[in-house]
Amino acid sequence: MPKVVPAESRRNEFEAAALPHMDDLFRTASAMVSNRTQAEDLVQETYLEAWKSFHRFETGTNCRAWLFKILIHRVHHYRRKWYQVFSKNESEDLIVDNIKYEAPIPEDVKDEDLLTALGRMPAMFREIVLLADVQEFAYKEIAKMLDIPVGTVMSRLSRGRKHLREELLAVAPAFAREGQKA
Amino acid sequence: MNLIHSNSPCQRVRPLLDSYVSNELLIETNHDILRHVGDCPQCRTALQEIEGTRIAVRRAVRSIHPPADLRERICASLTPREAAWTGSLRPRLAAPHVMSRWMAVAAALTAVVLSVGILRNLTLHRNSTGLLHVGWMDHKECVQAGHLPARPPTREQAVTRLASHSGLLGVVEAEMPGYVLRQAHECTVAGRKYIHLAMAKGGHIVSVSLVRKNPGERLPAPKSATIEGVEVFGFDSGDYLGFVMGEVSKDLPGLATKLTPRIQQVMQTL
Ligand SMILES: [Zn+2]
Ligand SMILES: [Zn+2]
Repeated sequence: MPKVVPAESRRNEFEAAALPHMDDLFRTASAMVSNRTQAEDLVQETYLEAWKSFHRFETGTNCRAWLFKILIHRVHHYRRKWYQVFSKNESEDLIVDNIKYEAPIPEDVKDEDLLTALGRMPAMFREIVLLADVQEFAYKEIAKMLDIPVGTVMSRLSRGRKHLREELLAVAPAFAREGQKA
Repeated sequence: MNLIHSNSPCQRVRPLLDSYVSNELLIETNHDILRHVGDCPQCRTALQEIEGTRIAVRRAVRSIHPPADLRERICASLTPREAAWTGSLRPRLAAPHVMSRWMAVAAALTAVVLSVGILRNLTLHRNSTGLLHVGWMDHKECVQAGHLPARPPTREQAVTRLASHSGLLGVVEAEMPGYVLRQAHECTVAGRKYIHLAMAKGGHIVSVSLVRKNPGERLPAPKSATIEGVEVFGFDSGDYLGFVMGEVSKDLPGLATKLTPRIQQVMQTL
């Protein structure tokens, strides 16, 4: 006979497992859509959806990856809704890597410059960089979240990191000069 | 794969650098790459660029903070109706009028129920041995899994990365003579934030890490445990839990005893 767990304790369980990831979910959403208000909505939707399907979530499995997967679906949905150009502009094959040289990035680049550069990147590369380099998910976890092969995660991440360095040079060219002077 | 004896080692190494930085390669391959970048300035520069970008983007995104009331709003939006029961069971005793009354009360009390609930959960489950596991997981993930950078940070970089916690550098330098700095950063392991220093002496790595406490977590007295060959010394340090960890060795207990009060002192003056 299935065990009946009182509503309150199930709710506490959900909050204890899911809420510690709120900051990271918000950061990711905010960097993905470059809009704080929209990011708040996306995170709220994520929690609501997670709570509704919490009965399907198995205790002991990776709650963080599960929440991120939901968030990413919400973000994709949002993007499709508001930017019809998304699929047209950002299909992988159409993005040309025109990186002429790789410039060193000083570690003390300003946070705001970096976020601007991140916002200028094609979204599909931006999300890979956020998941791999900021949230430190493994390739396998990212592949599952995005429903793509691990090989695609690898190639997108590699291109994403290059795109970021290139955008950063465009946003903060002073850094390239300073780096050379020093 | 033998990278070193390949005709063009750079061509073999370059495509692997991204996966190396993501810590996705086999340990043997990591060693091949480290050996190569040690001898090859071009590949070393390429590696530093990737690592530098990774560090910079992580720091920048972590500077984003959610609005203070987001958590409350999220909790208020969760109704106790769905998923309140395990399995596919429907709430049997929830006659409609009971349910809606409960929901109204719950909505009003959401914030209170939430904070009390979390506190209770953590105090129940996170006894001090459990807390030592928190430290050990960090050590395992961040040090043993090969998160150590190809090149240790310079002192200047370490000071920048540790920001307001850079006083910890002075502590390890003073109390750990003969050790060299291998890593100093703030990192996130399984969603928890750590301040993390790794020191090495003759291949032996001792890691010092501080994790911001969750509600209800505390280590009233210093405690140690050996977990999978790693000796973990845990102690309370204000808003943080502190850990000194390393492979079991005769020097480690003495080292941990010396470090503990100095770390507590530094963390207190913040
Ligand atoms: Zn080379
Ligand atoms: Zn670390």
